[in-house]
Amino acid sequence: MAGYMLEVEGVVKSFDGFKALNGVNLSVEKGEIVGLVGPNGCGKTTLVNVVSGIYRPDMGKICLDGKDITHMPTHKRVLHGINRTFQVPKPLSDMTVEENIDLAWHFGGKDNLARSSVLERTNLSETKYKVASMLTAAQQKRLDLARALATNPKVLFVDELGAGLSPSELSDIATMLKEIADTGVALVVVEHLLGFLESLTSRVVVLDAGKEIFEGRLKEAVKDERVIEVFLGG
Amino acid sequence: MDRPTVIDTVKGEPKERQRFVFKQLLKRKNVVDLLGLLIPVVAFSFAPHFYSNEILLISMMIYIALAQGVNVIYGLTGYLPFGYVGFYGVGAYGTSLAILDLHVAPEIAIVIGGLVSAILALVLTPLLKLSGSYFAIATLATAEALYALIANPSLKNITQGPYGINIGAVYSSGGSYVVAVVLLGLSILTVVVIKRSRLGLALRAIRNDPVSASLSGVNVVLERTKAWVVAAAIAGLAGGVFAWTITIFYPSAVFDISISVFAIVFALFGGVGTTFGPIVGAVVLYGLYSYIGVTQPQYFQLIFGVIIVIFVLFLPKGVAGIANALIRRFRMRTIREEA
Ligand SMILES: Nc1ncnc2c1ncn2[C@@H]1O[C@H](COP(=O)(O)OP(=O)(O)O)[C@@H](O)[C@H]1O
Ligand SMILES: [Mg+2]
Repeated sequence: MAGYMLEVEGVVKSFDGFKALNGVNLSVEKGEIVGLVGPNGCGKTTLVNVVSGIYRPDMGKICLDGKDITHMPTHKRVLHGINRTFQVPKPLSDMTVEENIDLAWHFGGKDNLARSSVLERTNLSETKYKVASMLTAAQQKRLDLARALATNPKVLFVDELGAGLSPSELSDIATMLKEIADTGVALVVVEHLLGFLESLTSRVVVLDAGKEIFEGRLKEAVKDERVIEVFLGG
Repeated sequence: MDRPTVIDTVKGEPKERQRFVFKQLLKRKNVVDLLGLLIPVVAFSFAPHFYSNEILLISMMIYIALAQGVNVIYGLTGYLPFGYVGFYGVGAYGTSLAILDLHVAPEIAIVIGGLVSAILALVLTPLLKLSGSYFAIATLATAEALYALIANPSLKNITQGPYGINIGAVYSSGGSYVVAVVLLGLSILTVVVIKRSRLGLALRAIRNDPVSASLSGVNVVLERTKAWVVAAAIAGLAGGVFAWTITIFYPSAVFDISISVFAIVFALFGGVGTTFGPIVGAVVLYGLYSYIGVTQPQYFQLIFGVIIVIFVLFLPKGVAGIANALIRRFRMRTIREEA
């Protein structure tokens, strides 16, 4: 029990009888970076949605810093310290980058945080006055990240931030994420790119059909029979 | 609370803020809002010196207020309230019954009318769970139900039922005119204040994407409810002003769906989301209606119906949007010519 910032226990989520999550467990410590991997459709994004309150679980329990948040609405979870980015970015597209951040700062942030540093940390300073819909997809993903940071999260889920990026962009993102974790944020990184996770994470959780099948170092994961079967045999 | 701080503490923020506020004040947007408030209030304050039909002027002010109410609920949150007139009718009745039963001054009775409508809106917040046309239709049904209730003969001892209200004893043409100007100013001020408040920022965000708004910490249900209650209060006050102006009316006069339709058309025509739009829409179209439409109202109903469809589908930003686009284009050209 001791020390976990986030604990997900036995979470089940069905869509029309199809169990996208089937009793999944996940624990993350403060300042830790955990990779969340698994084949397409295994329930990674659904887990992020359930933890962030977009969907309500059918069963199971979610605790943040020892507090049960299973039935909290999204905005309250945000105030308690959960945030996330989206696989398909979701900016407030008619608003400028600055306004996007202002909103999160006003409603989800704490008084002594500087808005400007959020943009610096996510490399968006030059886009400050641009309307969010004019940003590139990669920039919009970073805006999701900046928006999340402006709410001063304890636990942050990053859903496929690296997809479609060049190697040099990926290493920038890795640095960015490491810096965030260094401030004590518990990070869960959903990603397909194993090389990216290798350099970043202390351990990975492998999901298959809505349930974790492996937990440990990535090096061991790629040797695990079930993991190999899921990735190659599927 | 050993919560990790992701972001550094503020350095020199207050000064930055001051400069920011000052810059904001000089922006075109602020000047426009200030004029949007002052011009109508001054114009209607002096209008009776030049034009003697005070009832028409009061009606126009009531419609500007209703159009601003639609601006709040539709323009800022995207909910199209066809049954908006329900709050107007309840405000008119709340005001009249406060005068008749509580024997309070009409000005206070109007405030009571506004409060009653605001409370009704709170009770009706579950309607906000509906989206799009379901919401529009549900509010319409609610307004009809309220009408059926208030006009019910069995409630004769409370509401006078279908026989209508008579508060002729408190009639005061000067008094109701002043109150109408106050209503006018208040409705415009409400829009200006909301637009630049945290509430306005939150409502814009919710219109953009409710999920992202909630992930920014915005309580989507609460912020929408605020806009809904404010819009209802404006309609309630407007109904109260109408009651005091007319003093004798049937329930059908204050629960007439065409009042909703007019308010929506005026707001859409002028441009929702702006301060000026609903004012321009109400003055132009209500003026036109009073000039020609009173003799042939059936054509206006038809024309207004067509306007709703066209503006909702093709010109969601209204005349103000067209004007803004023209200004922008003109500016681009001057910039290009200068270059
Ligand atoms: N809103 C939804 N309605 C119905 N099915 C869904 C919904 N969201 C996810 N699913 C299904 O749940 C499964 C897991 O999806 P997802 O969590 O997006 O997978 P991943 O992110 O791991 O690729 C998929 O089969 C997907 O079709
Ligand atoms: Mg996914």
